[in-house]
Amino acid sequence: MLRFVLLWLMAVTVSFSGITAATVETEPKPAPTQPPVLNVVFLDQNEAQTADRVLTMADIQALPAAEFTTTTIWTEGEQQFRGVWLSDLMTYLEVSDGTIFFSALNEYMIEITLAEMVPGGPMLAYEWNGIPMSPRDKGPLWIVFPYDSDQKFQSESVYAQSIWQLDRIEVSR
Amino acid sequence: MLTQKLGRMRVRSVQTAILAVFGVLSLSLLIPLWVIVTDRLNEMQSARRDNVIWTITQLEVEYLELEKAILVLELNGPEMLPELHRRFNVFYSRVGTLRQSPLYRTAITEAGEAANLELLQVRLERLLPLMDGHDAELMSQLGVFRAQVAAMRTPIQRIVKNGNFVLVTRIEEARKETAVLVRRLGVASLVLFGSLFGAAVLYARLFAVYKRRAKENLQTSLRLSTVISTSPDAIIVADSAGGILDFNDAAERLFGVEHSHAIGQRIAELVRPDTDEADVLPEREKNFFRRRMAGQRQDGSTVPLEVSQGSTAFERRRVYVYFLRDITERLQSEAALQASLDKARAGERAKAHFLAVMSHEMRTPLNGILGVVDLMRDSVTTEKDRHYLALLEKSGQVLLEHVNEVLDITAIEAQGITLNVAPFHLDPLLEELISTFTPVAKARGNRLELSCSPEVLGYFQGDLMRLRQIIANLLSNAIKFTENGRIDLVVSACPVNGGQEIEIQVADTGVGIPEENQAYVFDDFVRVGRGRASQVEGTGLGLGIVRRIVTAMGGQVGLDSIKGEGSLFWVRLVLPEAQVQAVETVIETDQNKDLRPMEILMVEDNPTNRFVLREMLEQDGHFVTEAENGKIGAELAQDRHFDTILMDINMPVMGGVEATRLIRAGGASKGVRIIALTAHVLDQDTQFYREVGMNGVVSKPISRRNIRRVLGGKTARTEDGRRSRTLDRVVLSQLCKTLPSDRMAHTISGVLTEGDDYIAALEGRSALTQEEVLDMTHTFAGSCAIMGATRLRNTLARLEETLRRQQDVDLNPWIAPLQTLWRETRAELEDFTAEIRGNRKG
Repeated sequence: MLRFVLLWLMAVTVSFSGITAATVETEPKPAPTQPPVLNVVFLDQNEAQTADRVLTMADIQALPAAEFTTTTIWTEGEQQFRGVWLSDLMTYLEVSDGTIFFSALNEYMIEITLAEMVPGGPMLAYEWNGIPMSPRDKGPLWIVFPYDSDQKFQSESVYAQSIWQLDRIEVSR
Repeated sequence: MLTQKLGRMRVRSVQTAILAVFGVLSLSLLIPLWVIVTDRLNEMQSARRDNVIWTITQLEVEYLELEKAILVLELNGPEMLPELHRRFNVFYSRVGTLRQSPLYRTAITEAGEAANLELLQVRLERLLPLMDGHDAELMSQLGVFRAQVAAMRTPIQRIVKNGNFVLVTRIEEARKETAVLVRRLGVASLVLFGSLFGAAVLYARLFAVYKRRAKENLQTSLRLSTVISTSPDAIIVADSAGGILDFNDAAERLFGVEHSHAIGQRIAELVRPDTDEADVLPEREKNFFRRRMAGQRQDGSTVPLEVSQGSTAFERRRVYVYFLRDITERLQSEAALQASLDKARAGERAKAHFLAVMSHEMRTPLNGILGVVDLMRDSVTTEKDRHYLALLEKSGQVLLEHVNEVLDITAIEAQGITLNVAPFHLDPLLEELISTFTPVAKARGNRLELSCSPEVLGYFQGDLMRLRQIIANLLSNAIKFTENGRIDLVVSACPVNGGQEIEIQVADTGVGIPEENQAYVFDDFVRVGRGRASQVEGTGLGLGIVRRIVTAMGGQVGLDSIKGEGSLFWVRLVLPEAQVQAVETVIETDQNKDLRPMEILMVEDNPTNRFVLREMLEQDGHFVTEAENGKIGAELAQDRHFDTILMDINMPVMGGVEATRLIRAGGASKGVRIIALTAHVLDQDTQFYREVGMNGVVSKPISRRNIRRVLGGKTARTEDGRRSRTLDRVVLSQLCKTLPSDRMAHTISGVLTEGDDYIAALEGRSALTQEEVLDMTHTFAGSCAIMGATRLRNTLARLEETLRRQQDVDLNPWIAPLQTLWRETRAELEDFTAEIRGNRKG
């Protein structure tokens, strides 16, 4: 229940910031501030929020980039993805233990353990076939796996973990 | 056992084959199944379909969220616009995903909702200008916007409903298919399991069998190794090059070589031939051989061995097994046995030799005794002395008979029996035997009868002397054991292949022989106790001699006897028939029968014999010169002509044979008749003496009768039994006893005249009718019978028979034999007359 309340609050916050951005956009060009694309929330054992980090696309793109080509069950043909290994992201976020949940625009939520986050494993993609991803087409952030590289990435659970329209990460320690 | 094992092996291989077929069958079923199932499992693992239902359902959920966002916007105003954007983007992205992904697209197409999905896309895109335009415009057009979103509800519901139905159906089908696969897999696995289980059982059984076999093998090898190590014989195993592979305890003891030292040595170093030949072990030519060899001991000594080699091949490797036995003791005992055997044989030979010599030596003094008795017969006058003399002579004769029997059997043992086959006439032989034995039989109150079937048996080829010996022995035997009874000599002949089978039976009514003893009576020195009271004399050799002679003649001899009722001895012989003519011409035509006084040289070493012989000869009017040995005899003969020389054979200084040669070599008596005086009686000796140049043989003891016959130009009686039967002395002697001597002489001279007349009449036969010849022959045959002129009588009897049966008999073939026979008979009758005259004179 608490989580839904939080999500609701979060959604409201994002909406406001969107509105702000939209409003700002109408203004004659000030110093362009990047809109937040990913909200990282840190929770303690009682699910109380202890910290909060907002990442822009630039923040993410500043991290070491990774790239691979694979097919997916949601697309047709070979797809090229570029992004950041989740392991690198966690290093960047200084997360080395705890439970990590990933949540999407449609309130879809899954867990990926730290152990699963290895280079060559889940990747936070921001470019699909060389272009940034639209929120109308699974963007702007999509966790993908190199499905073709290993049979283990062709399982139901991996498909479920391949969350698109990612907008929030919850780290419980 | 082997076929049983083969059978079991066959059963097992059949089992294995069946199991293999089942295994292959189930595998061939399983492999494709596995492939399919693996595919299916991969498909499931990659699970490209399972979340399709969720994803499609999510379309409606996200649509409803969009509708809700519009509602919230309408209620709360433009601050809820970001939420609308968010919901729109989510929904838009969902539709895009459904369209892009082949997985969802195919599912929706299969459900027949592809058109609705496209419709949805078209309607969504129509909303894009409002969504991407100014918020104010969106706000103002919100009603339109809502209506357009609402228009999407129906296609969405249809997509979700139909899509899900199709998907559920497909999942169900897939599940069923999987179930079928799994069931098949189960069945195939069951079959495979069955075959594996079968194989496991089979191999478990095989394992048990092999385990048992291994155990048996172990037991066998343990047993074998025990056998080998405890064997008293040395056992060595060697390879084909002769290298020793195994060496048992006994071998260690035998050779004094330790096992460890022996292994690898060559067997030829230890075991060699006991001759000088090269080493022979291993003998590869033969798989098995056994021979005597010599073992080389560690200490340098050798040991005689009996070596047996056996060989066996295992996987092309040939192995030789040797059994070696120390035969030192055996050889020693063999040698000892051989030595004692040699000794025994030597003893036997010495005994036989002694027996022969003694018999021989006994004859010489007997000769003396009987000679003196013969001489004394004329000089004793009182009845008492005559009786004593008769007793003396009888005892002497019996003793002589025994000595002769022993000598005979010794000679037979030493040289075997040589048969002197010649033609002979059986009938006179039998008559002679009857007349010889009749007095003896009578003395014991026995009657002796002869019966022949057919009445005249005829001429045969055979050894007359030996046949006579057979019958004489049987007769004398029968007489010995019968008292006041009857003895029958029954002889029958019937034609068989190769001649006539002669059966001679001697039946007596004597004491008989108990059945348990019948088997032994033909053995040597057997004197079956036929009652102690009878006190029968004899050596027990008579029947032994009979058996030997009959066997040598190829005949059979046997007896039937009932104790207390008598015995019947029988002999069966097959003898070829002889031509009558051949026999008749054999008769000698020696005419030198007149006993004129002669100059006689007597060469004899024994003084008694010399004295007896001189007495005999001088009584007959001869002049005797004596010589003590052959040397003196030969010297005397050199200077002086003698009419006859009587020559002893065995003498000191010079024997008779050598002396004869000297005399024949030259001198005054070069061509004189030389008569051997000998104790040897065998016929082959006669031949020998003739070869060394002697004219005749007289066997000791010498009787006056014999010496007269020899001096009369005839050979001694022992030389040819046939001739002696011309005149049966026994018959004649009996006649003598019956008639006074002058009547006897008269009778004889009457027969002589009758014979002369008869022969003369035959020679001039044309004047006579057959009836007259028949009458004459009949009468003359009767006279001959009385006189004991057996041969003449027999011939006359046959002539008489012929004359009776046939008409116009041609007498020519009969004349010559009758003339010859008459001449002989006449001469003997004259001899006899001279004898009885002499006796009367003495």
